[in-house]
Amino acid sequence: MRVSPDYLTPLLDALDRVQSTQQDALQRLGTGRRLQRVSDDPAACAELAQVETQSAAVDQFSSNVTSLRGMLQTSDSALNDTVLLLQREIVLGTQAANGTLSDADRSAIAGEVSGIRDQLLGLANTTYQGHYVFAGTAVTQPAFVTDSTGVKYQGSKSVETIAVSEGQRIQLTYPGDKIFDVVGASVFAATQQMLDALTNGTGISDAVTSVRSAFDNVRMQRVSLDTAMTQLDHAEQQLGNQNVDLQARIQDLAGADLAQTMTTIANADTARQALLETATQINRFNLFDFLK
Amino acid sequence: MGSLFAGLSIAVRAMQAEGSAAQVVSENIANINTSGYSRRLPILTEVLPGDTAVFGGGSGVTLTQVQAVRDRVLELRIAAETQSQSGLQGFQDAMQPVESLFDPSSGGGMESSLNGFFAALSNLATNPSDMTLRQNVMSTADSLTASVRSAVQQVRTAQAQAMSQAEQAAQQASDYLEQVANLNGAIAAAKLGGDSVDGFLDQRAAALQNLSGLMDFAVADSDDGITITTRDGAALVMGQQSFALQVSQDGNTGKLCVVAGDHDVTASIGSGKIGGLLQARDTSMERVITELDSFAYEFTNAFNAQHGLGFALDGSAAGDFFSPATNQAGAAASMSLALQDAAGLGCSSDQLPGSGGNLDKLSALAKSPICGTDNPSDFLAGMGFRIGSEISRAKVGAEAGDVALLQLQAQRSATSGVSLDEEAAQLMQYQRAYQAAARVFTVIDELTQTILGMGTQT
Repeated sequence: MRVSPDYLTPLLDALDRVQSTQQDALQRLGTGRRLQRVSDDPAACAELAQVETQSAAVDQFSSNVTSLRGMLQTSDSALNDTVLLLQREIVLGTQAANGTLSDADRSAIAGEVSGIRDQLLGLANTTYQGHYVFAGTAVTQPAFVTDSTGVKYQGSKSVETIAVSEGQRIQLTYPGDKIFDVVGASVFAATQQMLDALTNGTGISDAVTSVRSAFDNVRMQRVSLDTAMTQLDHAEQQLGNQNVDLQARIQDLAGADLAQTMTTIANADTARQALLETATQINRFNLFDFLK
Repeated sequence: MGSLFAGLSIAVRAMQAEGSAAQVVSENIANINTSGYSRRLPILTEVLPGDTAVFGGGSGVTLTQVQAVRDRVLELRIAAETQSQSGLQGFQDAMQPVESLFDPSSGGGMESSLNGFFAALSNLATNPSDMTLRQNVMSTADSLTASVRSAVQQVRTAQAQAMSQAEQAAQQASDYLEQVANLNGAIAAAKLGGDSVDGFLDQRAAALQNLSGLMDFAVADSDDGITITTRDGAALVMGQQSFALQVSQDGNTGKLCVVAGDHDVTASIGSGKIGGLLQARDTSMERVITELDSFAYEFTNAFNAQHGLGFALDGSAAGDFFSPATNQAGAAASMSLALQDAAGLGCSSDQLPGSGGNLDKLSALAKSPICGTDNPSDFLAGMGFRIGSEISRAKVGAEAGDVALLQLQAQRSATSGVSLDEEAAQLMQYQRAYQAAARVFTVIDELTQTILGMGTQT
């Protein structure tokens, strides 16, 4: 059989192939990614897009958790301070209920309670990044204002929740009326009652009872805030785990296998050397060289 | 009874024949690197006994024919393989800018803009009245619309490129068709004059080979050379007449039309570079545009509908977020923001600034089937998948075609290629035969001398 006398075409073609394999591998190595174009593996790319969307959502949830924690911590420490102030008020009230105190002593206590009232109003109007945390959704104006009838809630009653991870939501707004202004357990009404009692010198024990129920209510409301913080911790942990899983999946789908890539490059290099060697060896002579 | 002179003429004839054969060898060697050249074989034939018959033997040798060694079936197979291979290659090359829209490693694609937009919405939910976070939603929405618009632009540019490439290819194809028609004429003339047509045949085969890189066609032998038609039978070359290919754009559909003479042959061009370009431009790219339009249209409207249910920072009812899309066609190219002021973002569900009730529903659109049966992200991923699979199929096909083509060409070269070893051996053979014939001539000449010297004194 006659063989093709043209040995260069297949040789060049083989060299081309080896070089393109090598270049692909080098690119994978350089970028650390197996997938350079969609056509490399369309199905993996489609899955990668979906996983990256999930991963972007998880990343955002994680950063949301950080800012939510700041907000919840501010609210929580405000409630903590409120509880301490109310406790002080109870102690002061109990002292004043003792009949041995002089008018001057009671008046001094009344002065302190009046200071406490101002502090309580300040705590109820706590802001986080410029918005009032106990005003429900009416965050742009103070939750409580003082008018002729006393301290009044002007926030909204809307309780809203926010998603902190896929399928998990926590309470975002804590309307102040539930905390500071519940009928029968109002912080401001009880404090006012205490002030009046101290001024008049009568009904101090009743006032202490009122402050105590306001104190109980604030502590109870604080639990729901603490619950939200605990949920936030869980969510953060869950998001961390999800993130690890998603990153692993992304690496699986798109990451270059370094060992394999290096081997490909080395193999291609060997093949290329062999081809070049062959090119110089074969067909160095033809019959003309031997005919004299 | 033969004569010495008859022997002389046999020797002369042999020298002539062997010399011509050596000339054929030198022709082969000269054309060793000529593409499309088929090696020639000198056919030597014994001159049959006739009037000059010498004692019942022949009258020597003559070069009756120079035969070109070629395999037409093989050449047609190469043509067919070239057509499909270059069609796939053309498709792949044309689609490359479209594929890069969906590059898995790029950070600025539509998919990541979409993710960025929904991330900004989710971020805003932590503090719905915050102007910085609102502004962030606006700017990510702006980059989402910009990336959709630029995607459309990129596909349109690729389409324009494909069209100008198709025009160039059609021009080239017309040149080759004209060459074939001219060669048909030259071959007919050479046949009439009794001259060799092999050179013309080689050139015609080369022109067909080049043509098959550009389009698919059918070849038939006819009385006046070969006839080239499209697969459907529309004439491209008839005898010495060729029909130039013209590429134009259909005013209504925007698709390309290829016209040969008066016939629209677009539908019958399925492969070759022109076929690949047509498929890329008018099928795949057109589909990408339609899908982008559908994405922009449905996303815009679904988002606007939900946005309109919410309230702005000042408690007023929210307006359109994106500029409303009235028509699906062209929706992607004109996708833009309608809202200018971030305070107008309709996050609130109770008219108060701290509410994120509607924002929550807007965020939920990321997971809702608002683009046909897919959520927005899956829809884009699906588009990328379809493009990727098409190109991947073309890639695999082109690679397989490459190998097949290489083998076929090796086969052609084995049949028709010039081998130096072979030519060297033949040159040697003819040289020796020539030397022998010359020697015969000398010997007969000496014999004749002897006869002439008879009777003279020495």
